[in-house]
Amino acid sequence: MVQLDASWLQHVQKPARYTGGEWNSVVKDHKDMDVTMCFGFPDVYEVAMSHLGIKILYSLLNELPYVAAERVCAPWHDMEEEMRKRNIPLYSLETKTPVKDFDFLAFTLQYEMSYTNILNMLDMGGIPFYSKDRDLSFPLITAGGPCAYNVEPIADFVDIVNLGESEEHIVEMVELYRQEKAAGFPGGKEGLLRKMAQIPGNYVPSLYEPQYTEKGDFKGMKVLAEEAPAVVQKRIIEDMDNCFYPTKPVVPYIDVVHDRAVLELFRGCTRGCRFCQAGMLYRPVRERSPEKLVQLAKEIIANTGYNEISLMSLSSADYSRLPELVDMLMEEFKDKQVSVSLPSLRIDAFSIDIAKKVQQVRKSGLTFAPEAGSQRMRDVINKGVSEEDLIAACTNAFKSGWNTVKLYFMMGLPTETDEDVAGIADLAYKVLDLHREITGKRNGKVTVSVSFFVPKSHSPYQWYGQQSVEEIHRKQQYLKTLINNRNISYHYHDGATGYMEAVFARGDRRLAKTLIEAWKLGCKFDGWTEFFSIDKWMQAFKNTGIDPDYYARRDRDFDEPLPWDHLDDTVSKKYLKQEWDRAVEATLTRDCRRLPCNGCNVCPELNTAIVDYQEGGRVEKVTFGLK
Amino acid sequence: MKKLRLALSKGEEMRFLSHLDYAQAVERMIRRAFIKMAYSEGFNPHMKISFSSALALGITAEVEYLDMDILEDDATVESIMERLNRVAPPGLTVMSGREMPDKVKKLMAICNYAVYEVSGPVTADVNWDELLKEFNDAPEIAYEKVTPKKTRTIDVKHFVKEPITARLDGDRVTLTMGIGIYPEGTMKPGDVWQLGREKYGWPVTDGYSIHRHEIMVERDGELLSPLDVTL
Repeated sequence: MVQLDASWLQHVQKPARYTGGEWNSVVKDHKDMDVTMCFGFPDVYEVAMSHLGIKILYSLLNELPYVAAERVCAPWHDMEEEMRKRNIPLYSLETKTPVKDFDFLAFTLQYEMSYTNILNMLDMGGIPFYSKDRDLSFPLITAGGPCAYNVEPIADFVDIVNLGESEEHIVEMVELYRQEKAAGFPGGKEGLLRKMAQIPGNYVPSLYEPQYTEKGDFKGMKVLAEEAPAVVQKRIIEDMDNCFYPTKPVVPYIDVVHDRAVLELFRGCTRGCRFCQAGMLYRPVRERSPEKLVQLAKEIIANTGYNEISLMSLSSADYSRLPELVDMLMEEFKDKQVSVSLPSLRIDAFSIDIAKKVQQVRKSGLTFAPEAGSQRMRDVINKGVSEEDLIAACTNAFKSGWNTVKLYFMMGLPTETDEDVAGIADLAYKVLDLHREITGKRNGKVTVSVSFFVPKSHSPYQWYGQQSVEEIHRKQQYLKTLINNRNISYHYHDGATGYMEAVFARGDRRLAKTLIEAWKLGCKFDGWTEFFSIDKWMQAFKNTGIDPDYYARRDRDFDEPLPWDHLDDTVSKKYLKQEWDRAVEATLTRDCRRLPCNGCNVCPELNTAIVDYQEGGRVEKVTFGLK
Repeated sequence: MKKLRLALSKGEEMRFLSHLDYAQAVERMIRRAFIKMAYSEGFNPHMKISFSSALALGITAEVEYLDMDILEDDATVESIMERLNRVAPPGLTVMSGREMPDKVKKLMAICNYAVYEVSGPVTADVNWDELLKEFNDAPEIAYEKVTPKKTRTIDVKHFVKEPITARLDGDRVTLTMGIGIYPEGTMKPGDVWQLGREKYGWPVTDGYSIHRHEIMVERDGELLSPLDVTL
């Protein structure tokens, strides 16, 4: 157990990040446990504690009497310095046990730019980076989350990758470990991993070897063990009403990014925005029933003391029985000073009515994401939102007393021209003018936030070569010349981060050495603008003889083997290709939720269906997969 | 409505909570206990609670006092304490309490004296009673108080009137100091420690931890517990 002394700990920023002891955190004696797992979040505590996935799995495992699940986050720079100076290894928040002493160290992969933090956490934990350099005296390093679908750049560091939703999966993994541990690990680490590879959804990278052509292009995966499936398919939970949901989440003492109770309305989103990886990965849409949600909300509020409950999903406004749910929650909490919040709004007047209901007094800003400035561009990405929708939403909002609107856009989308970029400015001006027209006042504020599009694996844009950083900077400056109004503020980021993200979002195993080199050069917290250094990254690529453009900027052939082909979210490649073609033609693809199947392949492949409570629950309809 | 004054602790587990974090932890505890509270009016209603001090991050307290306005007229102090303790976070215990008259003065306005224990490792073997004499006997001690806004000179002895005492435990020393909290300000116990180290040769380092032993009401030369001040 690590000893912490207040006399030095009080001098680091926010020491409560490192001391645990929060309400609902679970402390168990490891002596009485068969299996111990530490969840590692490769970012600072405030970000980690806002993540729903860890809340779910942490509570789920701690319900098992023979498992202790704990947490560890990336120490901030000042704390890292103190820990290294004092030879304090990375330790868990609950029992202050060095992470090295756990059976599992399970990382969540939310964002490519957190990979150097994973290396740094392993290093602080005294754990060798490469899976091959670790025997069973070290914890098994596992990883899950959206980036698990293209885990290849860090595959050499990880023992087991979990694809998809883990509520059932993680228990199977822990059970197997428990049996093997009791038997004294008869097959050693390799034997254990071979067994682990047989659990559906488990990907054991060491049992696969990437093959390359003489030219150095990825050619395919050689499967090294008969236990390992050629293609690893994701896991999902179909019945959300009977799926575990944490009603006793840890309540942080310090302010975290999302400091409120979280109610997950549904998983998946089938609007089919073509840039969106999540929209493909989490299919199909599966809702919880309003009755179940109200029951969960009551329990969570009672167990935490939170005074706010946030309705979370990929697109919460699409919850089929949202008005009813909001009414039920408001009725339930009306005398309890609990407010309900919606983190994301759909662009239509209906959403504003809901927003009005939940934000009865405080009119903080409204956020919309048209994503692109011109109708043509929005059709290309299948956003399915028109200018009229935005105007209708803003009209309703301004009439109801809102004065601030935030608009999110992307730049660098396929087929984009300067005209499309100029459309962003047009839209911002139209919204501002509308405010003046409706209110007669000049205190309207529009914030325009533009990000740099990163093509992701498993999306229709997975073949697309990202635009150059120079081109993005040119477009950013061009847009700047079009916005000259003190009531419109314009935000954009340096393009270099998006460029690096693009490299790792579609990288292969050869990038492992670049990551280590970048870490050695001092890269960490790369998602934090103030710590990101493109110079160090470019140096790391140079030192390891790798051309980042090969991964980020190259248009890939449609028949080219992709390094993530064996990691299957069950959306067929043919469907993605069809979506790409339709994008180029600016043709829309309908939302399959209540319309006929588009053939993405998820439902038939996983033998599942959409669960939509407006349609009475599980939707029985003909589904197919383009193959 | 009923006004209760409670005595609660801020233990080791809560050491690194700022005053606002601690207040939020208390609010959430109250909500978990389903105590019907009075709220302020307005757009952003606040639970009607107030504390005797703003305990800084890094400081634990043997006892902190809390005033709360509850809407449960039939509830006894004991039942409220019991309900709170059932859902109190680690490091927080509600130890005692009492119902207060409606017009009682705010805790912040009456608490004017605190006793702190500051402890840390010693770097030399000394006779602390001898060593502390110079500080304790000085009629006044000028100290440059630096805040982000301005620097001003204050007299330490105006705030630290009682002699500081020392207790050695192995290689650690604990200094007990009583510090006045006046309308014109107060002195941080950590600053007294640093001052002794820099100007009075106390063999200590800048590694120390602070525990507030008591916070009290000094009235006419008498020290009273805030629970006993009902005016």
